[in-house]
Amino acid sequence: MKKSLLYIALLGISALFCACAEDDLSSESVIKESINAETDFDRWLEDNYRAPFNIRFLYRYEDIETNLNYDLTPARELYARILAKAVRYLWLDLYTEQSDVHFMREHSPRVIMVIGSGAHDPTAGTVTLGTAEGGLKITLYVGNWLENYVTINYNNGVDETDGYTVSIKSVDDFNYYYLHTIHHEFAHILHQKKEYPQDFNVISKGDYSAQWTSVSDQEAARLGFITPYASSATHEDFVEVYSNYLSMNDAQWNQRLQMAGSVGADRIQRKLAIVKTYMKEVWDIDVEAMRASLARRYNDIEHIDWSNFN
Amino acid sequence: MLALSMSSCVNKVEEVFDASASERLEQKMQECKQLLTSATNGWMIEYYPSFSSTYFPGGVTFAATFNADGNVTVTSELAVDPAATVTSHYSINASSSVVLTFDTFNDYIHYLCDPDEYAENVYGGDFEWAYVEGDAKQMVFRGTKTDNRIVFTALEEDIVSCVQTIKLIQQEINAKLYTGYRWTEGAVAPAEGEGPTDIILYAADGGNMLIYYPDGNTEGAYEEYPFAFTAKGISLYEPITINGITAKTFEWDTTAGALIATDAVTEKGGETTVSLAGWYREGFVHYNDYLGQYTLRYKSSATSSSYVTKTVTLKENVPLQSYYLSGLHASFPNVVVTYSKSTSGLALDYQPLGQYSTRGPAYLCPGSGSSLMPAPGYGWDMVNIGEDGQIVLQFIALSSYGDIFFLYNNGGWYLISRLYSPDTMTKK
Repeated sequence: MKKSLLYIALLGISALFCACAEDDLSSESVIKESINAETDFDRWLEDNYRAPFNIRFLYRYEDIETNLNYDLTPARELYARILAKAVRYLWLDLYTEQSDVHFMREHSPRVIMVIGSGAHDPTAGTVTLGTAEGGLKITLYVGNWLENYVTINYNNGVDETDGYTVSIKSVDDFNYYYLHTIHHEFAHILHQKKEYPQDFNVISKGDYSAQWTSVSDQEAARLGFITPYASSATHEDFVEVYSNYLSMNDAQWNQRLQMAGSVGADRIQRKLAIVKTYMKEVWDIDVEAMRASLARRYNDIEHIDWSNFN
Repeated sequence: MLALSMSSCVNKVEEVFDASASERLEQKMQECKQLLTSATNGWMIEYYPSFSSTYFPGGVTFAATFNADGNVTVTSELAVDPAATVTSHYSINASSSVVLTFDTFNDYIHYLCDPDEYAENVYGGDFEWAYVEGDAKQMVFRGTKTDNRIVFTALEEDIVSCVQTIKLIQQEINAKLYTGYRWTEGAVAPAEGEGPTDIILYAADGGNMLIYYPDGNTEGAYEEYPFAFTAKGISLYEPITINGITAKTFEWDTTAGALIATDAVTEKGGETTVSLAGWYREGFVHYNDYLGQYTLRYKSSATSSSYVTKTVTLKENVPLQSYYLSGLHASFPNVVVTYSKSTSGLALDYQPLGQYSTRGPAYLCPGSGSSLMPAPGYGWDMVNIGEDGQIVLQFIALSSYGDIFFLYNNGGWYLISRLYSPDTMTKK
């Protein structure tokens, strides 16, 4: 017994010895400032995304932020600038106006990343336009396809050095490739935080299918789905109803309802009613007011000071 | 137990490096940026996308200046006008090692890695280049996907002049349409047929690549030697060794029509001279030699056994690639005939010919009797069967449709004229 006590005492001493022999900490910090210079656009992003909303808007390609399964190319800086202004005006400011500044601080994803090319899968023959990762990050692909959907009018007729204005050639395409993705993914974030009523899931029960790529717009509509992708799963259905209702005008929305026939249209209308109630009761957002504001913003979009980043 | 406890007190491990891993990484990043920005005239960049790409085998030369503010200005041998430089951003980051990333889109750099046009990265290029080593005169990187070596050489002239010079040499060499090069020991190429046993490095069709058959059998095993153009000639990606002589860098000698090695060494390391003398395969006819007037021989009717003639002319359309053939029909002086470097023969194919007065769009197409074949891929090969330098192009129909029809379409096909069974075109 005495012997073991001695051992314990010795162990204690040796532990003390170890502690004595520890190295000093280096006075040099291992965290260094980036050696890469900031641009006026980087500073604008700091002031308009990072500081007010804690969103990092990434447009300079970083391999660790991207999906390494794809061959990708970076965004053209000019297009990233246009998307940054458009996303701010048509999404961040929209929600801030309809709710308050805290809403987006609390709920927005922490990272928005713009990639220039599509995420092509040559084997499957598909191209991914956007992805969301667990409410934290939204990636917008095909940033460089913007040249097909907008007209950039350079003030000096040649390049961007003296500023430029932007007009959208095709609002539908612009919506489809960029803004719809953001509204869609953001709706996922909202319902992941607070689930919508299960009544929604029973409206088209039994009609959801993983084979949505082989479903036409009309077939989907007749089953009560606003888009073919909405037929892939209940959560997708929910966010598709919401995001399409926001971004479609009345004519486009009614055309879908007409395509759906009476049964399909009734289902879509019932889904929309649940979406509206959910948004009002859970998030205190009036979907009709939001939709009107978004339409107004699209009308006013040419008045954005596109090339000013001071 | 006591011994054990004592030894644990002296736990100091000998440091292998003076600085910590993060400090060394930081130093290497600083070194890379400092070197990149130190070349005031910029760098010539010998860049190799994928060696397995069938779209553009071989190297591509860029020239670029890197500024401390994060801008990089690039031009390329693939530019139509090298003076049209493109500026974008670069960054230096530490991932698996120190990596130079062209992190916003640059038309020249990303052209060879962009998946959008073909829904995959067909050229197999990289825009993230891992920094290996460097000094003020030369920097070496490796593509992070391809692992291909990318060599930067500091420029004494500006980037636009550098690429303009490169393009001049490239155009001059390409315009020769060499089938390949004879490996010739000695600076000046001996006259045709007088040299040693021919060792041929074949020029690949499209792209910057030489192909060598070690056994001399062009059906057998071969080695590929991708190269990039430089301001003086070409530089191979890997040195080539033939007959114990090794060389990598060659300068173009206009007068000799040869690429002369500047770094050839013998097995023992002694300096020696070797050149790649431009070479044509037997029977080769250069694009330019086909330009001129011809006598076309064809039949006067479907049943006739005798031939009639008319004068036709081949004029330049796309240099080294195609011609305009005039004289077949007065209304259509710009019928396109294509030239193939690999066969050095010509081809006449189905083609639209623009509007035929107000009647409708006109076409040239092969036909027979009252049948037509107005579709691409049907037409004639025109093969040179002349001897002793005489050019005689023989028409060989690619289908059973052997007559040349001129037609217009106005809700149906209407005949303008036809030439029965074209036979030969003999140069005057």
